Formats: sequence, structure tokens, C-alpha cells
Amino acid sequence: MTLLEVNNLKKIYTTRFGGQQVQALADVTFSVEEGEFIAIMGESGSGKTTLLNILAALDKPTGGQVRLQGRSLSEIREREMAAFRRDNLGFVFQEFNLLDTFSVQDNILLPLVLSGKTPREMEGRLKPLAARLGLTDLLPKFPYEISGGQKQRTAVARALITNPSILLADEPTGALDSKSSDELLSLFADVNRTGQTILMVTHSVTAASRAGRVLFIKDGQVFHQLYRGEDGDQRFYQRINDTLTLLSAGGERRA
Amino acid sequence: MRKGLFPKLAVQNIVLNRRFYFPYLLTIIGTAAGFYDIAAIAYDEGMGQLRGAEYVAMFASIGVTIVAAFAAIFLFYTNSFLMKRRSKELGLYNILGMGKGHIALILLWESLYTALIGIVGGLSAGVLLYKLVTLSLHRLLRLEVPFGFEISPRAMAATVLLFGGILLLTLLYNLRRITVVNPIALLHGESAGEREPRTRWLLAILGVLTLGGGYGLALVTQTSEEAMLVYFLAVILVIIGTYCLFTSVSIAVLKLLRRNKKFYYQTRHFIGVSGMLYRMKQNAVGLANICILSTMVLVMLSGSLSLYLGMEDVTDRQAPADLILSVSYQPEEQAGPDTEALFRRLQEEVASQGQAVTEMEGNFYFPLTGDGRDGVYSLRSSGSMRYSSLTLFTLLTAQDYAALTGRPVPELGENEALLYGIPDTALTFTDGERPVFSLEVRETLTDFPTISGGGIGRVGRPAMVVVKDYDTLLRLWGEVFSAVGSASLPVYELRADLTGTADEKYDVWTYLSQEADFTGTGSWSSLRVSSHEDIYSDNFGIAGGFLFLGVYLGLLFLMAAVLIIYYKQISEGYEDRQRFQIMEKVGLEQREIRRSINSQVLTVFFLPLIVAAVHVAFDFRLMLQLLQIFSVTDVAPTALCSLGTLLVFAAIYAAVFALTARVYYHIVSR
Repeated sequence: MTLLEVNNLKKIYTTRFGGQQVQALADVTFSVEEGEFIAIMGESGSGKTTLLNILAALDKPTGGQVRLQGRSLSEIREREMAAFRRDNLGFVFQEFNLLDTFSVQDNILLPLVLSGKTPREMEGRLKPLAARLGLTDLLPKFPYEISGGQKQRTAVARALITNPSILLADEPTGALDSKSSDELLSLFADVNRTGQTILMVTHSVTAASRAGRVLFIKDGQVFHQLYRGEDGDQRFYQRINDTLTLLSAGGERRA
Repeated sequence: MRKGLFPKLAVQNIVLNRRFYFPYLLTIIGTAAGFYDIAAIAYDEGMGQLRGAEYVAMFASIGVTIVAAFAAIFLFYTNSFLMKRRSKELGLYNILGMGKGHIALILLWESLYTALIGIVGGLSAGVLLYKLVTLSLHRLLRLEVPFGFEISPRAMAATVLLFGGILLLTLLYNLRRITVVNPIALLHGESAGEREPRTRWLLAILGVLTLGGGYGLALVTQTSEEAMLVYFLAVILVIIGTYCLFTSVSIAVLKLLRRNKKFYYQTRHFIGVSGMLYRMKQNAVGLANICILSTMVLVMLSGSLSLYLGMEDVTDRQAPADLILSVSYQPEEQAGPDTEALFRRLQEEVASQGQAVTEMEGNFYFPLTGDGRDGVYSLRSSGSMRYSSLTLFTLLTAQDYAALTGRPVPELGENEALLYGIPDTALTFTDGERPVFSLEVRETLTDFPTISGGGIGRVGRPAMVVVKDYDTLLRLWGEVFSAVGSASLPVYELRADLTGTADEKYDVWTYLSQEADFTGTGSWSSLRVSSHEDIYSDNFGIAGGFLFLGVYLGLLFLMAAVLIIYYKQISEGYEDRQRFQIMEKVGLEQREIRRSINSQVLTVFFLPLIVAAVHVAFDFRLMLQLLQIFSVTDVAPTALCSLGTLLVFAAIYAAVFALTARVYYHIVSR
């Protein structure tokens, strides 16, 4: 079943005093099936982050449409937006974005508190999730007491605790060392195996090679896409790398 | 490096950091102006020669010391805030290749500019405000308003020296800071690792004990002397208690709240409680500062205002007429003062000064000071007599009472009396052990004509006792004298109102008390002339001085409190900005953000105000007892003053809060 549809998405930024216009997204179209693990790759300035912000309903497109489970994001009123985001979307950021005023437990519970769940229900959801992500012992600790990898796992737990229909990750390995990155990617793969749809924006070929499909964005357009098929991580890594080389050499559109 | 770069950089820094620098400069200007004005008054020698202004120099020099100490502490506080905010910028300079010497040069230039703007601005503001300050001072002291425009070079020199010195010290402190700390630490200075505050039980217990001790002292004192003795101690205890309370008890309470899951896991409380908990440690001291400054402002204002407003009443009680002749005489000599002759002589002497007597009346009385309560009073004056247990009895005759009130002469027996001022039903006077004489109270009077009696400048409850006749009065005097061995002489008091202005009346009084001749007016042992004008200007000299100092320091402390609030709001704004951005991404609604900011900031900011109000409530009893020393005994006006001051202060506080909260929203929501 198609979970997310992106049709002819356009985004043009106008500089503060008018005049200068910058096109971030020219024409982006793709769709995401339920249970997919997709990586979006592209160089700095290719429009990756803009795309993610629009998918996350943090930004509005200049043109085109985003449909999540058949519902257009632009139809959702401002008042409902926060609740919609809370219930349907999970976020993992490069900088973790944990709140240092909260313990690990409270950071994870934050979205549930915002939607007004009872402490009992929170507890019920937290326990198995924390166990699955290996966070059980860390729950009473504060963000400044734990490592970067642990912080990112906390952020993943926070994103998953609402059972979102899609998990959006923005360079989730960007601030991690290679060991923590591997752990996080394995975690993503695990989570994906249980049916969780993941959409990840990344620079890292290693990170992308763990996904099931990779979209390449260049100059505000989907330039190419690769399916993993039957490939192992190694082989897929190689193919992604080749495509990137081709891209930076200025190859033609083949998508 | 190119010459002129550092001064230019310094100017640029001040402009770029104007959000922090501007209030800092205002602080310097404000305190410098405040210091200059109070110093100019203290150094003004002409002031001491004004009638009623004798005490001003004393009050002003107390003020000079307090303002100087305050300026030093406060400027250090704001400076350290400023430097903490700027550590990142300075660390960046260092990393970009500036030596510490170069940074020191920039700081030196910044300090020079700051000092120049602050001191010159402060002096100008001070000189301009001086006229306003002296005008209000003269009004408070009920003096004629002087003309002219004055500048006090001595006060200027003192201001330059003091503020130059303070700013030099802050510069040295800042320089030390950059030489000791490494650039990476400077770079991260702002976000230096925040740890969740620990509950410090020892501190919490200490806080409860000291605060309880301070409050307890305020509750157990019974007399003005005790109040005077313990006041300072109580203030110190409450200050210590406040700091401990804010730093520990608040954290303990918040942790308890957090443990309550039902309460804690609700959007508003969730964000609020954790935010406050997180903020409590860094801001506990700031909040305690605000709380103590607010308390000081409230206590000073309400106390001095009560005294000032009560003074009119006190003066009228002490001097119910323009002139009061108190003629005391030996009762053994049967003759006594010749009242007719006294009336005549007074009229002649007043006429010789070009004024006339408009109204005149007189009565005999006999003052007694009794120590005790509930009908039993010891006449023995022991050194340990306590003001507030003293009752100042004025005994007078039924005939005089009738003449003063225009009522018929009351029928009284030998041992019967009418009583006014205290609720006893019988009076027994003792020599400390055995009774000397007793009076049955026939009637408790609800009003009484104002006579000066023996009350001028003395502290105690006034009580009027009307006895049968003149012979009874003298007999009672004799009994007191033989039992105690001494007694104040009986007095004939003559009260007269005059024509003329206040100054003319004062001149008549000066003449009467120094030159007039009252021989041939019967036999008496001493004659004292008091003047309403004299007592009035004396009373208002003191009360006005207190009020002036109270308002002056009150405004200064208010300015400090406002500034601390402002700095807190903006520094918190920068800290909270990122937190709220993250929460928005996770799905917090804009409305909820505003609501939770409101409830959190509101709690944090009104906590000091509430605690200050509680402090003031406990202080109220002590203040009443202290006011008794100045004969101000009415509770209601003092209560109104306290309440009024609190309300006005709360309104100002709320306005400041609203204004600075806007700055906060602006920072957070950008």
C-alpha cells in the first residue's frame, strides 16, 4: 500500500528583502510504500533538508503536493498540525535534539505527554521499547551523562513511542562515531524489519547502503534511484558509490 | 596591529551587545546619579542650619554609605552577568588569533568608554535631578522651598572617585578571568555543563531554621526595646533563610512534584516543572536577590510612610495649641501659680511681638508614669522599664474637665475617677510591692479634649484620669511622693493659639522661651514654653528624613530589582529558545508553548513577590513596635500603608514583568 506520495513538489525561497529567488526544489515526485526503508542522498544544497522539512510539515511547499495515507498535508489546519505531526511522524535529528532539562525517560515520553496520555499507558509503551533499544538502564540518566550513540538511541525511542506511520531521519549518523553509526543503522534495519517505514536523509554511503532503496537528489530533482534487490550491503555500497561518482561527473538523468 | 583598531572594536562590541550593555550603562548612570545627589545633600552645609533639617545631614550620610556599598555590589553583579554572556565572543577572538593582551586592550577600551558614558551621564543626570530631589526633600520636611541651582564639586569628586574605582575593579576582575581561563572554556562558557540540581537537605534544614528563627523573633517580641534589639538579627536570619530557601527548599518541592506522576505528566506541568527545576539552581540566587530587594523596598517604604503619616497626629497630640506653657510648682506651697496673672502676662508678651492670642485655656494636671497592665501599675521607675508596657497617666480635676469640655461637673467620690485611653475598670498604683492608692473607674470616656499632658517626647500609652477635685489631686500627689520618694511636680498647663504665620509663631516662641519675663505670676518652680511649630518641625525633620531615605533607597533598590529581572528574562530567553524549538519539532503546539512559557515564567517571577509579601507580613508586628518609639501607635494607618505599598509595588512588578516578558517572547519565538 502506498503510504506517502510526493507529487511535483516545488519550493522557492525568496530572500528577505524580495528580489533574489532561490529554487530549492524544482520538481520532486516519488512515493513510499508501507514498510520501506528509503535513503535520500544528495550533496549539500541539493534540497534534501528542504524536502524533509516539507515532509515533516515544518515548511510549506510553493507548489505540488504531499499525501500521507491519502491525506494531503496542505489540507491540515494549523491548529491540528502539531497533533498530526505528533501522532503520525517520528523524527530523528543529526543533533539528537534532546532536552537537557529532562531525563532520558522523560525525553522519550515527551510526545506522549503532549498528547495527554495517562502515566499508565506511557509506562506500558516505554518498557518494551526501552528494552528493545537497550535503554532500560539509562532511563533515569540525563542527556549530559550519556554518550552520543546513547543519545541518538534515546531520540529514536522518542520518535517511535507514538507508533508513527513514518520515521523521518535527518543525517542521523552525522554526529556519531563509526561504531555508534553502525549500531544505529542496525537498529534502523531491525525496526524496519518489524514493519516500520523509514525515510532517511543522509550524506553517508555507508548509511544509505543499509536502506532498501536510495533516491538521489540533484538540483532540486530526483535524479536517480537504486533498489537494493538481492544485493548485500557491500555490493549495494558499491553501486551507490558508482552512482555518486557519475552524479558528480555531471551525468545525465536516467531515473 | 593597526592603531585605533582597539578603540573601534570596543565601540563595536558595545553597540553589538547593546541588549546587555545598554541596561548596564543605565545601571551605572542611575547609581552614579543617585550617589551624587545623596552626597550633595550630605555635603551641603547650609542644610544643617535650616530649622527641622538638622537630621538631614545624618540621614544623608547614612544614605551615602548605603548607596556606595549598593553600587559596588550591584555593578559587580551586572558586570559578571555581562561577562558570562560574552565569554563566547571573547573566546572566539582568542581562537581567531588575538592574544590575551589584545583582548585585554579591547576590554580596557570598553571599560574606558563605559566609565566615560556612565560617570559623565550619571553626573549630568544627578545634577539635573538634584533640584527635584531637594524640592521633594524640602516638601517632606515641610520646609520652605529654596531657590537657585546648585552644583556640589565635592560630591562630584566623590562620585568620580567611587565609580572610577568600582569600574577599575570590575575591569581587573574581568582581566583576571580571561587570563586564567583557557579559550575553549571561554568558548563554551555560556553553555557550561548544566547538571540537575541535587536536593541539599542540610541547606534546606538551615533555611527552615533560620527563616523560622527570624519569623519567630518577629512573633515573640513584646516591647519596642526588644524589637529594636532583635530587628537586625531577625533581618539577617531572614536573608540567610531566603537564600537557603530558594536554593534548596524550592528544588526539594519541585522534585516532590516531579515524583507525583499524575501531576507531572501533564503538558504544562511537565515542561514547567522540569524547566523550573533546571533553572532553579542557576537562578535561585537571582530570585533570592529579587525577593530580598523587594522586601527591603516594601519594608523601608511602608515603615517610613507610616511614621510620616502618623506624625501629624503625634504632633497634634503632643502640642495641641500654638503655645503651651507648662508651669510646674511645689504643691506644699499653698499659693501655687496665679493663673489669671499668667493669662494676662502671656497676652502682653505676645502683643509685644506684634501678634495676638486668639484662644486660651488652661488646666492643672499631675503626670504619673505607671509600669504594668490590667489595672495594676507600678510607680517605681526601674531602669529596666520597657516602653511599650508604660502608661503615661495624666491626672486632672473634675472642674477642669468640665471647663474644657463644656459639660457639667461630674459627681465623683474621693476614690472614684473617669478614665480615658485604657480599658481598665479600676486602677491600683503600687510602689512596686504595696499599693499606694486605688481608684474606682466610674466611667470610661470615649473622647477627651486634647491636652498636652506629660506626653511630649515620651513613649507609652497615654491615659487621662479625672479625679474629684484639686484637693484630691494634691492628696494623691502627696501619697505618691511619700511612698516612692519622688514624684513629678504638678503642672498648670496653659494653651494658647496665636495669630500670624508659622514662622511668626515660631519667632514668638523663641522670644517667649528666651527673653520673656514671667515674674509676678504666683509661685512656681519652673516654666517651660513649648511651641507647636517647634515640635512640628522637629517631628517632621525626623519623619521626613526617614521617608526621604526610604523612598530614595527604595527607588534605587527597585531599579536594581527591575534590572535583575530584565537580565534574567533575556538570559533565560536565549536558553529556552532552543528547548522550545526542539519541542515544536516533536509536536508541541504554538499555543501550548505560549501557555507553558507563561505559567513557568509567571511562577518563577511571582515567587519572589509572594515570599516578599510573607516577609513583610511577619515584619509588620516588629514595625508597629518600632513605630511606638516615635509615639505612632495607631495600627490601622500602618496596616493601610503596608498594604498600599505592597499593592503599588506589585503593580510595578507586574508591569516590569509584562514588559520584560515581551523581550523574552521575542527572543524565544524568533
